[in-house]
Amino acid sequence: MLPFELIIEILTRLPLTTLLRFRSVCKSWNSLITDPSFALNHLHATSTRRLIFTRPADPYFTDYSLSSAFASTSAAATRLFPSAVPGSHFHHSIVGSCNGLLCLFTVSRNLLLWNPSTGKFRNLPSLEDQRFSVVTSGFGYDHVTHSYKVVVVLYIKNHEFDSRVHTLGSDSWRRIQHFPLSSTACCPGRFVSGMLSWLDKNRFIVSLDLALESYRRISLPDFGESWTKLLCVPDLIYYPEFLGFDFNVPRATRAICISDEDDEILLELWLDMEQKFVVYNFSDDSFRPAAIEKFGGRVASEVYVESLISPCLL
Amino acid sequence: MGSPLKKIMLCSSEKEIFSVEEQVMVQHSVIINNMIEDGSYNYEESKIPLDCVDSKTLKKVIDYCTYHTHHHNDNQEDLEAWDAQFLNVDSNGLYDLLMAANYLEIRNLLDLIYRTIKNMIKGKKIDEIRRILNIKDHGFTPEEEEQNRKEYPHFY
Repeated sequence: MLPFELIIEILTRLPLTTLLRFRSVCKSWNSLITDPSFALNHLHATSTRRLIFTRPADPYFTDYSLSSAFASTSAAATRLFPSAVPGSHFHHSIVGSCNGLLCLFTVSRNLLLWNPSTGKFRNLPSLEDQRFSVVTSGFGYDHVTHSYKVVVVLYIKNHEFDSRVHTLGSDSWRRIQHFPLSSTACCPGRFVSGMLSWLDKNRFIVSLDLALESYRRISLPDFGESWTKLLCVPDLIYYPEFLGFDFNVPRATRAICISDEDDEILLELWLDMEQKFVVYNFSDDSFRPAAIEKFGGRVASEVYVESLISPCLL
Repeated sequence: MGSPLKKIMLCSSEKEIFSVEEQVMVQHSVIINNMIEDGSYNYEESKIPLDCVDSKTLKKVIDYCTYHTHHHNDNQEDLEAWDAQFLNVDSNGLYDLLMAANYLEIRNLLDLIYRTIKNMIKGKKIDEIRRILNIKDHGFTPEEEEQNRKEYPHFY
């Protein structure tokens, strides 16, 4: 029989679905696979990314492996339903994604953490000030205190934006420095290298350092000078053969995610009320249709990694 | 780094002596590299005793290290083909190699074996896993085991 430390090495390399099955092999494997420190090691060893969509009034999430979302033939979608979530028959918006956990915000103003890979979820303490509207939010990991944090920005009055932070494991929300953005409607903050960042309409980025819990402003690069450092997707107007019809229709494009190989970007396209998903390839400068199903309505999306991390054990 | 001409002696569990280019082992085995670096190996008299590695396995390990030292510039495909051929052994042979690579801390060989075992067990049913890895006592109570089998019959 193999020594257990070598078993651990092998199991760390297995995909998540196999591990969930292998919990039934024996008791020691079961304890290992449900252990939080094994979950972290597994996350670092095998990061398989997935893409999840949610749309208003649909309680189900539509889930793709990232590789199948970029596949040219039909992509296999899974319908996921956080069944045990109270009020889950309502629409959820996705606050953010970190280490395989999605933070969701429901219309009944409940916040919850959900691991779509294992189905485990956990409710977060409710926001005390029910009368203020939520302007934006964010979810990330503080590498200094090793804790997950959720940030919610509330509109108080007269362009005053309150920031509240909840540290996972505590039972309350704390008030921090005012949110320094002026625009009222903005997307959830993106979690990148320890910071939650928001793009402002006035061409700068507001970043919240999750360890220091303080905001700072960064100017956007000058597109005129440093465009070579940015990824640029050309306007479809230059690709009439791809569109195959009159392209002088109102159109809007939204970037969804970049492929595992870093050479393609998935785009959501609206052409005169018709939704399309297309893939743009940077290396050979070409467009192709993506095999993602048409939702026929506005969707929100998020990329997450398959992970065993349990929101209940944080 | 050892000089390319120097040889070191490795002694298997059967007390068979293998003479290997020092550089080959130093490059691959963390344990042997440490021994050479801290001066605990005496070129005149020492042989490194590997009591838990038999001759057959030690010969394979030396083959692996020698090939990868001299062919590290080969293209990835050729190396992978060689590795696949090298690991075309029965499960006892694989087990012995794993234990030897673990003992000598040969990271790339360990990784190769882990990947091979991973692919071997990935799609297998629970009963097959227990047989392949020789797990006799699963530790579940009869009730738990029955419950699992009832709940997930397709796993078994």
